[in-house]
Amino acid sequence: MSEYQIEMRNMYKSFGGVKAVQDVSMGVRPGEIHALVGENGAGKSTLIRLLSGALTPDSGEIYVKGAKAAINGPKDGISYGISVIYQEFALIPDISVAENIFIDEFRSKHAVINWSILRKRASAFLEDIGFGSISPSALVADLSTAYQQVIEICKALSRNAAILVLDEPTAVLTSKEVEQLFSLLNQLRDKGVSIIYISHRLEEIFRMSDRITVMKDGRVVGTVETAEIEEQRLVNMMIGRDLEDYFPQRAANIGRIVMRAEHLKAGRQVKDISFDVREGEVMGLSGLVGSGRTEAIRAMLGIDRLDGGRITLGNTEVKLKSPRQAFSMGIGMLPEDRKTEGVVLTLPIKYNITLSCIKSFCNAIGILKLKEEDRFTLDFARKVSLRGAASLMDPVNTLSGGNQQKVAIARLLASGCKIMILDEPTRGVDVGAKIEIFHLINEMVAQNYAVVIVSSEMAEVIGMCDRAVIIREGVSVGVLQKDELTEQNIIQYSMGVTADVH
Amino acid sequence: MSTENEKQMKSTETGSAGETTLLVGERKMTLSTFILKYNALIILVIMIAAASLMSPLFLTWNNVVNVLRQQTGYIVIAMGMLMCLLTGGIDLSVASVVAFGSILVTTLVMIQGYGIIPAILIALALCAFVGCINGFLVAYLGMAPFIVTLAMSFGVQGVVYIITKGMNTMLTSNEALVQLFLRFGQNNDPVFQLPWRIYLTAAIVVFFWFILKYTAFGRLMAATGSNPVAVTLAGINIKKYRFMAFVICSFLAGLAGVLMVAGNGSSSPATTGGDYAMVAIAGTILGGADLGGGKGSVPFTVVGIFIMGLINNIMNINSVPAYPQWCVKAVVILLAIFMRSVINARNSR
Repeated sequence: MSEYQIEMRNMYKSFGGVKAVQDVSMGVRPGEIHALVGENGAGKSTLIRLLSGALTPDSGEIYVKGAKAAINGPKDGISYGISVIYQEFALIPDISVAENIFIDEFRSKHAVINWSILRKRASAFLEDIGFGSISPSALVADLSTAYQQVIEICKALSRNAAILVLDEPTAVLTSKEVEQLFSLLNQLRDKGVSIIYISHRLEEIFRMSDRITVMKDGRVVGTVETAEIEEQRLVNMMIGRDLEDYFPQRAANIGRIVMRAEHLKAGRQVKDISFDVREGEVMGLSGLVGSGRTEAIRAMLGIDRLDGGRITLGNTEVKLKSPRQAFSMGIGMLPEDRKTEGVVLTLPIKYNITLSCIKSFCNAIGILKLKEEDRFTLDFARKVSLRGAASLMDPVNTLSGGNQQKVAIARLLASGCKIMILDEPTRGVDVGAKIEIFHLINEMVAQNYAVVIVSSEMAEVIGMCDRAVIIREGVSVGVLQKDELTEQNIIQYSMGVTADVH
Repeated sequence: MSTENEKQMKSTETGSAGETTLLVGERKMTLSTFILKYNALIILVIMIAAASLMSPLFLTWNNVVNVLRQQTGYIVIAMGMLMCLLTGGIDLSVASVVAFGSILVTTLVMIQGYGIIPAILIALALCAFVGCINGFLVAYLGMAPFIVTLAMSFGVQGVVYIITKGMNTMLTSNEALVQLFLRFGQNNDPVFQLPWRIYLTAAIVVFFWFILKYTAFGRLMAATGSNPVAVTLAGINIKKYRFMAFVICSFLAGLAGVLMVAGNGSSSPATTGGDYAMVAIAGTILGGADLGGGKGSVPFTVVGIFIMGLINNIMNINSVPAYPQWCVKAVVILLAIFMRSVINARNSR
């Protein structure tokens, strides 16, 4: 019997000329939480797709409990007890919890469904992992993201999963939900389930994992015991170079207020949100996921309907009806979801960078000055230190996540706006790119731009912002100055003082 | 940029091997991406080669000119269809609009007594107006293009039959301009002996190729369909481009109708039942466009239309009867798209 529940040996996988996974070997013990970390594009996702059978390796072997496993498709992965929970859940929203959990059985076992037994079994599963409060007959679409994730895990357990792979499971959860997830994972670990845990969040990795495997450029840099490594060294392993400071320092030179939003009201989620931003300042909008930060920004910029409130630019009150109008008034926005909103994935890098300012390259009759555009784009691509492109005419989807985000930022910089609203600027971005993005933000501020950052990452708000407005349930509940920005304060404001009582 | 930042950037640039520079050099073109990119052209070349082997009549001057002339109308319409597909729309009303354009010209000249030039201008304007309605309903009211243009095709068909009372109209007049118009539609140029219509069509193709490649308007038109949400958030008024696509499409369909009158010397309400929409869509899709929007190119759309046209021509000169020709068309379209999806699926595995 092998020491490992699951082991991969010398795995290789290439796409065209790109070697996504090279000579990767790793093993996970029973009852272990094994973190898999690395920058975006390091090969983590490819590796777990190989494990689940979604991709077939070019070469390499997988052993389950010491015996060689032949995994040629997703079904094989499941039959060996390997379950992967991706960031996008594979649940069917319009049917019940119980049906989702036992979805596999509908194909094979019985022609007629015994609903009461199905629900009882689902209840038992849910209670077993401490989520008895979820009704098995509830529709999945009506559940919160966190509960949907629980249902995914339940589904995996119903397949007798011995190996559970979680890809960035906390990215979509609030901090309270994260706690629930962690206690569930600890329970599963105690039951002997092997868990491969992929995350960018170092605090979680140090808190939860037993061992850590670091990947870089498709290879394994090393596997270490979590207890024996410091955060700094782990980061260095991930990015392959020394990192003096996670959040680069900048000289604050804060000027007058350039934009003020007062008593914004929109839909159900934005009740009364006010904030302002000054020249040369990074202002944070902080709060729990779902507190109405993004919604407030969207309504302010005219993307969604604004039901009430005042927006002042300089000294004049404005009404913004569309992002186009916002851009024309010098307010640029980096949307929250990079892939669907931030960049146009199928268009070339060049077209993306000049998307917001294309008209400035037209001559009198609308013909583009392509040479000038080329020079301009190359300039901006350098400015944001874009990497990994063969040509600026490559579609953006050939780039890694971090570089895609840099394209989106380049577009924003190229638009010539002086007020920048960045919604989750570093979400899903690897450590190296993160730091580069922080540098870019500092550069904006150095040029007297006004920057608003919406962020769920407390460390980011504390590290980057000069000031932060905290939003709770659609209401701006407080302003924290630089010296007041601590995790303690942010949590207190964003959860409300009453949250500490019960 | 401060010098400290510059240093930081430099150090990150040389940080990881293989990714040291901005551009990592040319990406090699593999066989599958080659096939994917030139899919339509490959099919066309194979068809031409096969046809010349099958019949000595195929590569004769007369036959080549014949094929070119027959495709002119379809190519003009396909340019408009390409605009619609690029923005993520589709226009099923083009056959009715072709008929509308043609019957307007003949009716205005022969029955209302207009001069040929005002008649053509009015016809084109009214066809463009149909496009305005389509565009308004789709872009500004958010209705589905498939349904809007389907309904519009019935509506315009009705108008065509109301105006003509179901009758064909001949364009016969001794007026010099009318004669010139008919000569333009039916005669060849004196030097190369090519029909004048081919020159006009070529000019239109070059014009749209230029628009898409060298103007902001064309760039944003294609971007609109690639990802409407991201493009809107980038500060672009996508409604305008959606609207314009339908106007252009209907205008070109009307123009094809006018050219048809010049070629035939008459108009018929039965044109509303023509295969213009379907051939234009099929040709555009063969040329790499996608119903999802954002894809497609002018040169390959022309290639796609020629594929459709050659199927007919090859079988005609080999005396295959008309009915089986439709089946062959089906097979060619499905094979071409099959080829593309197989390669796409393989590349993403």
